Amino acid sequence: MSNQKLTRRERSEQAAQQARTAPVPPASNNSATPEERRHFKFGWWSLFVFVCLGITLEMMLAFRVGWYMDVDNDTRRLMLRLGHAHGTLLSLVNIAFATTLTRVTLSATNRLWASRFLTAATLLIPGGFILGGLQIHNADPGLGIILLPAGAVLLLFGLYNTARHTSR
Amino acid sequence: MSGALLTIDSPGLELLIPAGLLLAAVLPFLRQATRLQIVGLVVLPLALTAGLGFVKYTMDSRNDASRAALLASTPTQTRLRPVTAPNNAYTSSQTCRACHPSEYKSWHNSYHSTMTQLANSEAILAKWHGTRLPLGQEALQLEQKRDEFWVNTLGTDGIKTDSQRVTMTTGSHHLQVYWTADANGNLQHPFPFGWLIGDQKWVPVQDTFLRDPHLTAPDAKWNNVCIKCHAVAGRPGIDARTRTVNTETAELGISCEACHGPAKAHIAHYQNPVNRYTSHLGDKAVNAILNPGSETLDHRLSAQACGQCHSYQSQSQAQKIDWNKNGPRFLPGQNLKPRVAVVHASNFIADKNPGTPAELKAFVATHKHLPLGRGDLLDRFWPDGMVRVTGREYNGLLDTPCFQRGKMSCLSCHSMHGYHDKNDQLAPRMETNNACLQCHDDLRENLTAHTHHAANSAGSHCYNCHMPHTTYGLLNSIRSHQIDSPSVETQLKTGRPNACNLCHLDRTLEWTSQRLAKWYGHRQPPLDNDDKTISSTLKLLLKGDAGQRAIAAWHMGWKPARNAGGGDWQAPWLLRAMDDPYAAVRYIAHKALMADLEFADTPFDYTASSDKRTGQVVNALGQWRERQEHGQAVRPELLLDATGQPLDNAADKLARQRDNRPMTLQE
Repeated sequence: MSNQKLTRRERSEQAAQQARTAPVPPASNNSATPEERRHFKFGWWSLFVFVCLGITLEMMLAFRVGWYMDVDNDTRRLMLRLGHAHGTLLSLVNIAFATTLTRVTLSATNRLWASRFLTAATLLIPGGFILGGLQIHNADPGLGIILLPAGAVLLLFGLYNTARHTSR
Repeated sequence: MSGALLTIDSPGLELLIPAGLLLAAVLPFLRQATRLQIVGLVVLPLALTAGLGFVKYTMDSRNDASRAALLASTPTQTRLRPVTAPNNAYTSSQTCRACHPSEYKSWHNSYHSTMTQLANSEAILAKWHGTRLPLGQEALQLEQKRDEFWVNTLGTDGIKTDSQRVTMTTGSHHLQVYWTADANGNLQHPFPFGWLIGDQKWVPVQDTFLRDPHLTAPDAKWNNVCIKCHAVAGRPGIDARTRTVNTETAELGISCEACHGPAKAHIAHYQNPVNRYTSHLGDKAVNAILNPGSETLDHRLSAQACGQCHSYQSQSQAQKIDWNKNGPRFLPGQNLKPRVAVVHASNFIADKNPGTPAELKAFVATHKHLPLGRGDLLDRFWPDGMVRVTGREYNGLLDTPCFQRGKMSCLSCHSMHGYHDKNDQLAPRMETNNACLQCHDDLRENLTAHTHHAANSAGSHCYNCHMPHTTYGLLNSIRSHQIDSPSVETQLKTGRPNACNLCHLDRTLEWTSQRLAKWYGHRQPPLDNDDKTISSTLKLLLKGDAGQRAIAAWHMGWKPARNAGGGDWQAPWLLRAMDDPYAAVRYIAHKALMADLEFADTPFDYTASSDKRTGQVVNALGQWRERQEHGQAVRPELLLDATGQPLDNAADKLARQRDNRPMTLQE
């Protein structure tokens, strides 16, 4: 069977099948730095996580879950929505940062610091909102909210560090 | 689904999880950073975060402990199951808001929502911190500690002997009163002073009611009096044997489920979005909750949802025991009559007044309450059965032809969610004649022929003639909700002032009798000399019972009446009424006096000692006498002489005939 000569049409279909399933290498795959790869990966995965969170929130809205919808849980609802919004946005910022690194020349030190600032901020800012929403004290968020100012400071450093070098 | 979502309950975990996340976020910085960088970029945020965390943890812990203590000492708010619908349960207004945000907002903005509140800085309207109130030989020193409100009792030597935290408030419209908790259970004791919101003034609570001044101050507990209507589905849970109290309510205040009934079944059905959209597309009958405003609901059932509270009721001992244990048996949408004994006084007015114990027993068996001439009922109803205290509007509605023969309900004029003014919660345009013209449209074009008053005058305003202010409550006269027509004969029989003389304050009853005979063909009953020669309202102020005096004094300050009957002669009579034995009459007379611009700033403390009050009245009377120096026209019907001075002898003669029977008109 394997020695049987393929017809022209069969050869053509086989080639098309291989073309459909074979991975397409990125144009500059070999030149991607570890930071670029890490931020693409981190950005897309965190985007996936925060979109999942958004869907969960929508489900709780649709089913009128009291833990999320009741008047006494206003603060929780606000915190979780802020966590979802900030997480989604910062995921996109990570992807944008990875793209920026492919086009802008930054020193190794600056790349490293900017990368760490952004990563930390992406963990701390939405993390602070979400943890602050899981346990609330009447109208006040839980202790997790204390991560927010630290995350905000780190985000500022990260953005400044990147913006400073892109404008050169 | 909510069960699957974990909350971080442990305070330790609440701190540990953010700390772990923070560590994970900053760990990469520690590897290659210089010492200075570590200090600047890692240690500082860490220190800041730790500091903020400590402050916040301390504050949250304190607030949580304070709130937990408050909840532990107030009636338990829980998802009660009504005894008459055990498959359903109450859920509280906070759940309703998820689907009905607009209705929630209009309710939340109403005085119903704030009728009973937990005591905190948002609820308490009184000037609290630093206030010192005298109480016999002792004094009460009020103190606010952050969100907690405390009452410290000071002995005669000024040393603190007791300290109690205020737990709940009642009212937020005219008057706010306060409660403190018992050490044994969640029994709520009344704080002896209340806050008059309009006057911004502390007064003894007993002086906020029209009560016989010789009675001792009431010691009503919230748990077996106010709970009935100031909370949803309250169960007193008072155990007389063990002297403990475990009061439960579905919710404090008058919230959604008080009028719409328990909502658990409704919510369980409509949590499913498919069911919601099926309902939006037409099928509204499934698990629909009662809407008293629905056009398809019988107007009597609609009114009964309001009438469960806005009525005067009687409760047998067996009913009291049942209510104490099981809570209310009535649910909105059900027929009120078999479950609640509303005192429908006009129904038994013609019955023979029971004389023997057997007759009394038979009367109670028939009507479920005492006859009209006994107990509280003697004061709270006019002799023809019309209710004379406010808050009992359903009693008035029961005897209104528009309700009996038409389709009028409370919601014909009022709207709980679409009101234009939160004071009366009237629906838009229902403060005008449109309220009556909804049905009596034939009068729209013939208004002046019917009223014999100018079209835009107060005399052509339907409410003023057919719903005059003949009920008393909250230091005010309130419109009667039993719609009737002015009648001199009725006034002579019942003592209830007629609408004409409540506006034409300077006119005699004979004058009114002649007008009603000429315009409407009324019979002219025989009148005594006073009714022919003295202003009907002035006569009522001088010789009426305490309730009549309050109504007469109030109308002397009512703007339409001052326009119709003149506003320049009432002062000496109101000053005289400011020395009335009833605190409520004194308060109302002072307010009416202030309608006269010359007396607008007259100082008067209606709760002060008799000597102090007399001094203030004498000063104001001197002001009146000075004003009269230029002379006035002779007005014998107003008992004023040619110089405008009051004819004290004639007034004293009427005052000696005053109806001094002890009265209590407590709303």
